[in-house]
Amino acid sequence: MTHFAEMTTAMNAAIVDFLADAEADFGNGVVVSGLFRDLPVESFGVISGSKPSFEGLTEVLGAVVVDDTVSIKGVEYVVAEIPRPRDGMTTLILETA
Amino acid sequence: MTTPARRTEIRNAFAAAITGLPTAGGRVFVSRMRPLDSADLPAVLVFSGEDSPEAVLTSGKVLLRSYQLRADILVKERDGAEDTADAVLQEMVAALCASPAAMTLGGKVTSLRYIGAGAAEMDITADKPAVRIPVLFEVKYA
Repeated sequence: MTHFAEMTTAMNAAIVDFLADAEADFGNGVVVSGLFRDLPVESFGVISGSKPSFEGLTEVLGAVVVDDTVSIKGVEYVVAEIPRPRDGMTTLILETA
Repeated sequence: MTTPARRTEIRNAFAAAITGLPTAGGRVFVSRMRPLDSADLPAVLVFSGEDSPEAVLTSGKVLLRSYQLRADILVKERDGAEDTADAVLQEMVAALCASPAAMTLGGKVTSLRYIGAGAAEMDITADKPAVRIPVLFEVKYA
C-alpha cells in the first residue's frame, strides 16, 4: 500500500469514527457504523418522500450487494443501488422495504 | 351558501364516479395542492384542463362547452408500480364508460369521452420508485 493510500484509509476510518450517526444491521450479527442520510424529496412535486442512503468504509461494506436488506434506526431497507466506491468509501442507495 | 360553479359540479361528479374503485379506493383528490404521503397512494388527482366554447350563437351566448378533465394516476411502489397504475386506469375508464348514466355523470354533462392516457413517467429520486400516468377526458356541457 502506498503512503497516500495508507493516509486515505486512515483518514476515512477517522472520519467514519467521528461522523458516524447510525448503525446498519445486515442480520446474522453483522452491524456496521456509518453515515445515514434521509433527505426529504418529492416525486413529481406531489408525492412526499425521502432519499435514504448509508455511507461507510468500502472495506466493511464491500460485500453488500443490491437487494440485500438492512435495518437502520428501526426501519427496514433494501439496497437499491451501489454507486462505484470512491477513495475507500461506499454509499448504499436505499429503498424502504 | 352559494351554488357551486358548473365546472366545480362537474369535477366533483367526475371524482365521485371514480371513487371507491378496487385499486385506488377512496384516494381520489380534487384540485389538491398539498403533497401526498405514501399512505395516500395509489391515488388519482383530478383537475381542470382546457375549457372552450363549442357552439356559440351570434348573440354571443354559449350553447355548449367542451371541458377537459385531467386525472393523474400516482403510484409509489418498490415493484410493479406501472402495473398498479395500469389497473387504476382500466378501472377508471370502465367505471366512466359503464352505462349511459355514467357517461353523463348522472346528467351533469351531455357527454363524456375518454381522450387517452399520456406516457407513463417514472421517478426514482425517492425511497421507492414512483409512476405518474396523466389521463385526459372530455365532457360537453351546456
